Amino acid sequence: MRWMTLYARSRQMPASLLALVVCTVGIRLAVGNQWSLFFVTLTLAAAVAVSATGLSGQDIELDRTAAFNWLPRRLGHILLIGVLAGGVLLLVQAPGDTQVATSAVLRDGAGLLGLAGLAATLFGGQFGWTFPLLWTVVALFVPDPDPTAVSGAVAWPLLSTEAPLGWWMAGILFGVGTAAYTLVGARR
Amino acid sequence: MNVLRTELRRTIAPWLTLAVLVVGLGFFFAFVHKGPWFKEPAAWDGQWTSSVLWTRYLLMLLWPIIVGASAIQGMRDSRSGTGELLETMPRPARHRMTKLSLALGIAAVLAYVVILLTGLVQVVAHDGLFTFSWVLPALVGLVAVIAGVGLGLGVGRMLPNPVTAPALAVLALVACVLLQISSDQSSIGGLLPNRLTQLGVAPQEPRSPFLVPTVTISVGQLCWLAGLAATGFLLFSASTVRRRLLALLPVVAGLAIALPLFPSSPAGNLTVDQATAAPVCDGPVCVTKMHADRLSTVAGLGKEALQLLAKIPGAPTSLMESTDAYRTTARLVGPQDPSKIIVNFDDFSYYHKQGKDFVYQLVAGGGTQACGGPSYGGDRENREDAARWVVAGWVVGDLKPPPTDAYLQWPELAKQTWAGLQALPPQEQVARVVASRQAELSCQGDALTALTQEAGR
Repeated sequence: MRWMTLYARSRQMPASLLALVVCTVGIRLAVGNQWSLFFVTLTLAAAVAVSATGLSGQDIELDRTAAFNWLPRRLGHILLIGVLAGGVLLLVQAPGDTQVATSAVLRDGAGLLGLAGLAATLFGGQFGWTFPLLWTVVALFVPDPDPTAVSGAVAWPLLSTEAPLGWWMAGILFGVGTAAYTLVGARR
Repeated sequence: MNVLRTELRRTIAPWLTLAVLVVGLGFFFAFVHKGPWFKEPAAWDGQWTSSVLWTRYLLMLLWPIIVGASAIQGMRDSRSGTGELLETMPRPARHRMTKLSLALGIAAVLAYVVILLTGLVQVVAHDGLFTFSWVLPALVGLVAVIAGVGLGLGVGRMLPNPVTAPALAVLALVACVLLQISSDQSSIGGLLPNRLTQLGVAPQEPRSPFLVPTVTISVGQLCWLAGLAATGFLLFSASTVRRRLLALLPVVAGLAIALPLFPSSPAGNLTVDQATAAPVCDGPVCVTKMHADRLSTVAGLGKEALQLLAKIPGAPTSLMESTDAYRTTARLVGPQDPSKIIVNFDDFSYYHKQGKDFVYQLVAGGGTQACGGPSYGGDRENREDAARWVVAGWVVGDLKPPPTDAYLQWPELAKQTWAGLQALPPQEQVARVVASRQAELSCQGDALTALTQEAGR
């Protein structure tokens, strides 16, 4: 328990969690009756982005002196971000009159989480938000994504859940990103 | 100078330039023939003002990137723990901050100007009509980029928490999206009052090459964005509480000037650019100055259409090119001018039509504009399409076989109506065609019912 408290403090979890909830609730309220997959993608990207800043600690050298295995802890941390981002969104959209399918939330959350892990591995935790947000910004404005072409691969978060391309993209990004972060950890 | 060179090389500045260029140019060149880009006349590489407005539309993607990157840079001193060390220097902090602001500003503006020029060079190559209406919107875009840098640096310095950068970028993106969606005049819009939506950094994508932002709107946006930029940079270099409070003045002043300048309804946001829309005529057939090169082909066909229509009482006597934005799903609000045929070259029903087909399209509905939204399928639109097709056939003297696309539901309706109309005595035919044309001109009633039921009794 003591370790958990210290870990959460060193990773700025309270601030991240607060930002995650504020982003999700804020966007849902601001959008009103326009709630759709478009805004779900935006909200998930926001939630993952603000939480991803905690993927690295203060001092990587100090972390490495610990006499336990970081792998499961890193994996647990990144998956927890995904669970929180998706879970809070599902909770927030439940009372509304329009719901976006849970499978779409799962797919987009997983893919964006992978992107966050990848960015944290390459540039460090404080830049973990860059990839998910950058990809989302581009994906949201792709005109007419075609589920069998490049435009669909770019705009995978907005494809219908029937399109296999969306699942493949999300799966690959999730796999590569979480694996990289779990095995290598954030860069200093 | 030395410091500035170092800042340009060693900060996030080169990455910012790279990210903006890759996202911006990549987006334009990857999707140039798709989605909203099909609007031939208002294309990115078509006309000066359209090109500038497309680049400003792109700020939707670029502004959050600029704001986020600047926020990262704004918290550099406090994050790297050199605050105390640098405070021991005899030079005021302002000097250092100015150099850093300058480096980031140069990086962002450079990338934006490259994107802007990429569009404008293509416009010159395509021989777009030159007017000066593009200058103000282009300036607004540049000031918006600078404001993004200022906002990021200022907030980054004030709140040096790693969560600040992503949160601010998200906030910028959500604000851009919501303000743009609300400024849409279609059914989606109306979330927020028009005066507020005009504060958005990214405008609607251009829908017509003739419509440009009004001068008052551009001036208002310049004031508000310049205020935002000034506030951001002042917050970034301010070191006392009093200075920070004073730094808020420019943005308040900018808002105070801008909000009253903005029109209260979306109808006042755009105005017809008189220089491009001036009519160029050949007898009764007129096109705009922008499309003067089409006059030679349109003139003959237009005169032929007017001649054919002469058999309808109260027929149109001239042909004009429309300067309205292309409606996708919005309905036209009548009444129309009965003495003119109005042609909108953006309308895809005129695409790739030549000779007889073009004339058939001109006399559709008796030389009227369709009231329904062209991309909006529905029972009302289907009935209207059928009626327009049949009236065109009656004017030309023979029904052209309707298109056979599987998704169209009106061709069968048109054939039945045509057969019914042919079985009537000639006078009754004329009366019904006139009634159908009236229904189209007023956008009231049903043009097909007018053809299938006895007129006026």
